[in-house]
Amino acid sequence: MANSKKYWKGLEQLEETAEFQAMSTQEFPEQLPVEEFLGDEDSLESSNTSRRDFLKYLGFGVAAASLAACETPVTKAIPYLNKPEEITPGLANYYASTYYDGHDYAAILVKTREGRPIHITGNTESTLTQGAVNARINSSVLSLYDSNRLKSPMMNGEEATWATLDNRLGKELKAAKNVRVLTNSIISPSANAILREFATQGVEAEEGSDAVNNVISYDAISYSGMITANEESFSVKTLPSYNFEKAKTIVSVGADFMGNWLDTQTYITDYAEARKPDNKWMSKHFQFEASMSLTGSNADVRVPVKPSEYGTILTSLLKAVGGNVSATKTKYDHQITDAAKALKASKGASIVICGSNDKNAQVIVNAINDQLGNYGNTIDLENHSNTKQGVDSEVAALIADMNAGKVDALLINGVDPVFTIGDTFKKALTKVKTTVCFATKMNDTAAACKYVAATNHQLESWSDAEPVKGYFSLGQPTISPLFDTRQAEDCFLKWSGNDKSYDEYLKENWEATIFPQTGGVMFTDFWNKTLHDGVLELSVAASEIALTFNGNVSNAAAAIAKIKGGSMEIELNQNMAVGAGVGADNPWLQEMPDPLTKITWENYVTMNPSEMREKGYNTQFGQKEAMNVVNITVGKNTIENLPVVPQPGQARGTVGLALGYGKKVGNQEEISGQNAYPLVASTKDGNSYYGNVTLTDVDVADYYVACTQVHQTIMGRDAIIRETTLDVYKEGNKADFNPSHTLIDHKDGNAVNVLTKEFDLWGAQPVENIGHRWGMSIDLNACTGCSSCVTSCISENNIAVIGKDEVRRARSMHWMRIDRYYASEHQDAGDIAGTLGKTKEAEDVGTTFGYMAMEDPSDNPLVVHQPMMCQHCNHAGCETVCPVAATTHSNEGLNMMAYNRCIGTRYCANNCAYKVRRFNWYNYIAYNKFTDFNPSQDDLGRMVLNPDVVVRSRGVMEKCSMCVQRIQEGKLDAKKAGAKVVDGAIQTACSASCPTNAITFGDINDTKSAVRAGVDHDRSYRVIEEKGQEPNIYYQTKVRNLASSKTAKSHGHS
Amino acid sequence: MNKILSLIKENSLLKVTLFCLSFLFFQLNSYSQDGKKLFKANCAACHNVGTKKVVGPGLSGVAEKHDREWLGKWIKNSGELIASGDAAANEIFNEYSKSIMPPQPVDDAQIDAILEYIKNPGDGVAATPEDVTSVGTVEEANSTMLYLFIGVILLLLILVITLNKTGVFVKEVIAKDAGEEYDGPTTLGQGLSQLISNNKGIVAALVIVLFFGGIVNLMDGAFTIGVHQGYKPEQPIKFSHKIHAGDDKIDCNYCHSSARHSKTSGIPSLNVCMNCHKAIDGSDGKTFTYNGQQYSMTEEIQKIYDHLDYDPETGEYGDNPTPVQWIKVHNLPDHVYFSHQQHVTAGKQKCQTCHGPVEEMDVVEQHAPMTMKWCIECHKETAVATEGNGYYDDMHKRMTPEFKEKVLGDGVLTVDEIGGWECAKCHY
Repeated sequence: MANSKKYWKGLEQLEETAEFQAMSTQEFPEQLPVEEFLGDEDSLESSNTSRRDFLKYLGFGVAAASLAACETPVTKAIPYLNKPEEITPGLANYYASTYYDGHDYAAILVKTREGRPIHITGNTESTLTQGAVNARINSSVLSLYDSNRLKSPMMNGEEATWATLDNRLGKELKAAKNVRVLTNSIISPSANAILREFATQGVEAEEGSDAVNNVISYDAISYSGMITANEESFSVKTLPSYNFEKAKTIVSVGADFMGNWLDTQTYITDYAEARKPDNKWMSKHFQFEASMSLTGSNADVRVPVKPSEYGTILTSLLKAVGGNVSATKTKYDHQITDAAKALKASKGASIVICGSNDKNAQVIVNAINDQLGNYGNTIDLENHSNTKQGVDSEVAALIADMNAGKVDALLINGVDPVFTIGDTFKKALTKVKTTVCFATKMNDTAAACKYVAATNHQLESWSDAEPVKGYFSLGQPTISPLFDTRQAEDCFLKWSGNDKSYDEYLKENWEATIFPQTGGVMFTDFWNKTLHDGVLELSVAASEIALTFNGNVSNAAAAIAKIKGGSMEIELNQNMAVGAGVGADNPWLQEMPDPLTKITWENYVTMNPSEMREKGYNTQFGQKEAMNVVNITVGKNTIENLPVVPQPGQARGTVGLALGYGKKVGNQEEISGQNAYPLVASTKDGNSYYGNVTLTDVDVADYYVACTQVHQTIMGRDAIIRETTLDVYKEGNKADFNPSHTLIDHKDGNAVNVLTKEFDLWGAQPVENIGHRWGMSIDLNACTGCSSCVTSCISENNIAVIGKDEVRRARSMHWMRIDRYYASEHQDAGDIAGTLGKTKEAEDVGTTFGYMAMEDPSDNPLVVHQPMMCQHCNHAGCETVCPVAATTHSNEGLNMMAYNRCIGTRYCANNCAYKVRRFNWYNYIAYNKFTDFNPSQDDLGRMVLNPDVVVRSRGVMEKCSMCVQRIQEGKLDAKKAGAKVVDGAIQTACSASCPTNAITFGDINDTKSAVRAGVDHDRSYRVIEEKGQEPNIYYQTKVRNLASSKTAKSHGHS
Repeated sequence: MNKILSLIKENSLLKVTLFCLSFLFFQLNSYSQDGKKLFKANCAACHNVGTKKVVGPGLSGVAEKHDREWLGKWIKNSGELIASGDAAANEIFNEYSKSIMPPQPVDDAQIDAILEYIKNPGDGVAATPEDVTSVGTVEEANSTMLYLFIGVILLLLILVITLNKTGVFVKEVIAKDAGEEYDGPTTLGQGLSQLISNNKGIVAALVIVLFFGGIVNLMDGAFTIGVHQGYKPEQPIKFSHKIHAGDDKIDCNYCHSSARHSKTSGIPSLNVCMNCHKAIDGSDGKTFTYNGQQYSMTEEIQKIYDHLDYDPETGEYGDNPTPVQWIKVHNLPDHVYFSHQQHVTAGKQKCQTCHGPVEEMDVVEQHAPMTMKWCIECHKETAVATEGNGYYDDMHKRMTPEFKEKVLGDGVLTVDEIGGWECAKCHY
């Protein structure tokens, strides 16, 4: 009986539903919009437009169109009056800058064209983020051109001028005795200095008060539990920095450190580095969690657990690694023992983290890490992280003070507490006389404040940052403010009577405080270099003071033991698109499919599929599959009308729900989803993102979600995903982990296995030794599914936003998609029924798959993320069927698409084995259906378009061009320099944005290139290679750090 | 008589007439056109066809003032004529502050054409300067020619009718002579319809030829839709490329500096103009020709100052500058990616390859059709500038001998051989 893995994109595929099967055999998942083209069928029949009339109109239309084409519009060319030296029309400029929004930090590079920022990538100069940016960061460039931005300051809900605001507010602030500032965590040394200056002035009247306490840090997602635990354990009120590159064993309990937990940009590259199977060692990753997170989907061992069990798992783990604590038995002792064994084997080179905001759980985590000797090795509290500083009790104290009328003036910067804290804060705000909100867009807090100081977008602002002690970066404006706005720091300077502009202040502050630490001589040189590089890294000598763990483990364990789980628990999490809320108003991010559920445009309740079936909920997605809708209640707060979607791997007895959605104030209606922040429980110990939950069924008919997961299914093929385990890989036998495709041929009367290559129907088309051959090597082992490449591609290639309704109809325009496959082991039905004879098990279940008798595969599947875009086949199916030769092959290996030649027959998409072609059903940049959310429909939003790439119109096919505009540019640069194209000089948008370097782009014919090394690698294979399309995109077999079983061999073609 | 009859029968008269007429028209037209063109190319920089003095005198009535032989000598080499002591020549020489008219590279036939044009320059001469904002050039309607043409057609029509009547009369007479009753056509219309019915084959052939000719014409016409070869808009500032690039020999790249390193050649910003025009302020009151008309340099240079809000007296800039709205001459469709640096720097092409002799144009016009056909034809013929370029050396090193033979066998590597005909080289 042969065992093998079955890969499935969704439950529809796993269960082989009728709709799925119909869809997978169809070339197009889309329903043909005939009705929309021809109008209502009834009215069509009753219409008396005859064929003759139709032809008349057609003739007239053609004539009118030709006449219109004859008219030549006069195009004006308006040059600069005085051209800035560094700007040349037609050439891009790159500026190093800094992104920090209170949630994510990254050192970035901003690409500008003709003075407009149009694209963001990571700054590889930074050893901290190493060029990593997530989807939210590279999409933030679109927010700059949001037409809903505040265009001037406001007073009492009406537009005002800065002069009047400064005047009135100045008077009020002078009169105010107790001025407080509520801000996101400030990582900018200069802004910190300004705030201190400002706060000191405010309290001059009041004797003996501590000025700094008037500035309260608040994080929308609180890490207060960790901060207070560190204070208790080590007397340092900070968060540590982690080094995942050194961690041989990683145990995460509910912490989504690759998606949304502390400084993900600084972890993800290191993590990928330690996951390379060719290294001496590969890290082993255990994940205990309730909802399937991005991190969990990448773990070697993932254990679905309830949030209420996080604490007990940690105490058990502490006990298992030798800690002195009493622990109760859990259901997961087997996995905990495994984890503990791995941890003990890699003492000083492991990391244990927990996503809970409960101080007690974090004390146990500290105890485990201390027990393992990780402090000073993989965890650094000395060079600590600054990105989250909020302490829940301080925020609670502020609210209490506000309610007590002790606060005269409150200035709110960078946070939206009315949205995230809710009515409690809104009510307290009414007790404060002077309320000021700094905001780029109208939001709930700004709407509740008397003064709204319209601030610059980050790309219009100066900034500096010290995300981790000793690691500095500078942010510079890449465009003049579009509106009458002023950045918050400038306001604070002005209101504290300082006439300097913030950039002057920043420079002086650096000269006074940071420059002396570098030991440099000329400040101007230093400043120019730092501004150019964007980052400055001071080697901070690690202090040799040993940290002593003083945490009270027994108290913490006792508190944890008291936690009682409910029958249904909720985990409030953040997803890759919206995060804590920063992406909620960004159409690119809203339309980016969630890495796991592949749902767009809203948040939803995730639940275990088998549990859903028990409740009678629909577990299928489809264009016409309505989802069940529930009201969800935590404590006293209820959120109404949320769809329930199946999430394989969700722990039974738990549901998940993403925060950050539902920003209604200041946005278009289409920006959908619901605000889940009211469900965050605010206890005296801090905020809790877990709780007991009640679901109430609501009778809402026809609630559809726009899910892309089964839209582009590659049907009936086996060789899409390849994976193996580390020990099999290390044995080095390629036939075991990445067998070549063979077919049986007959020679001299004997059956012999012959490589599929030998059966080529096509004439030999030379691809080697002819010049360039552009291609990619994608390492499935490194791809985390973070989807940064998806939005980067949108930004680079002007991909249209089409909205929820069209996504639901499977018309998503994304050139780059990430296919998420769940994998579960099953017994092959053919083997059961075939030669090996029927086993009893197979007889019991009868037909298709043997897994039915086993545990439900969707309870805890393995996950593989596979980036999928045009494969640029050398023997492309699409090219041969195009009747007008609109898609052809270049001698550099590219599959080219000439839009203005395309007549929209869609034959090419029919014949594409990878389903990567996208058809423009509408003129998305003009049709009124898309006005509300397609940013290209207003003049401001159009400024983000890449001028080097055509904006496609209705009726043409489009697909990944492998960023041919960048290839052409790179080649031209080489020709101009008179030298060969340097490997790595040309990067596609996806490869440049990939934080884990999973995507390597380059010239395969350049024998020394990185991509060639990837192509020649033992793990290298091509998707459905056996069909002989000869793609130029290669994938590398995923390797899991698991013990092999006989089933773990890669599934090959035999 | 029989000859006349056969002539009538074949009805080739009409054809002959039409042929003659078209020939006449063509001749007249081309003759005048040549003179105009020659005048513009050779004389217009300094002379006006009217009486107005430009650099040299207005030339109206010059053929009456001097004999043809003298004019020929003067035009071909005025210096020689002056040196020979010719009185008329020396008079002009002295009148125009002793500046010699440069010898013109024209032959006698061309001189005749020019003189003919000066004698009959059409109505373009006295035209008042057009509205400066108007775009494009209005084709000058040659009304004299039109009247002449209509007159000739009328004359011929009368001729045809008279001949027809005569023919009918002659036929009647012949019929009478033969003692028969003439029953043929008596009117022109009847004559024609009989002619048609007698020559169905020829008529059918004619119809077919006309039909297909029409289709071919229509197709040709359709191919010119959106082709603006010769587009020659007047600019808001009468900037003459002829003066700057031709006479003053300023390198194209001086103003269009980004052609070498950017996608666009770049329209120079006004600070580039000011590099020279801070000094050259046009205060000497010279005029120059632009689109066949005279403009004052002072006024046009003043426009630069106005846009910059610059005061030439004090040399100070005001704070109310306004941008210049030039009219774009070369407009490529949005779906074409054309890079100047690719052609100028990597391809080592001269600007003139596509833009034509800009240094001879006072108003820049679109020299090439700028159609895709034009692009790819050039890509087919043009050799890649591989010489001494390490990029191509590296490419050639990779090639198999067979492939090398295929593309380099003829000793020339043309653009299409390295993929210059591929869609995604220009369309993405």
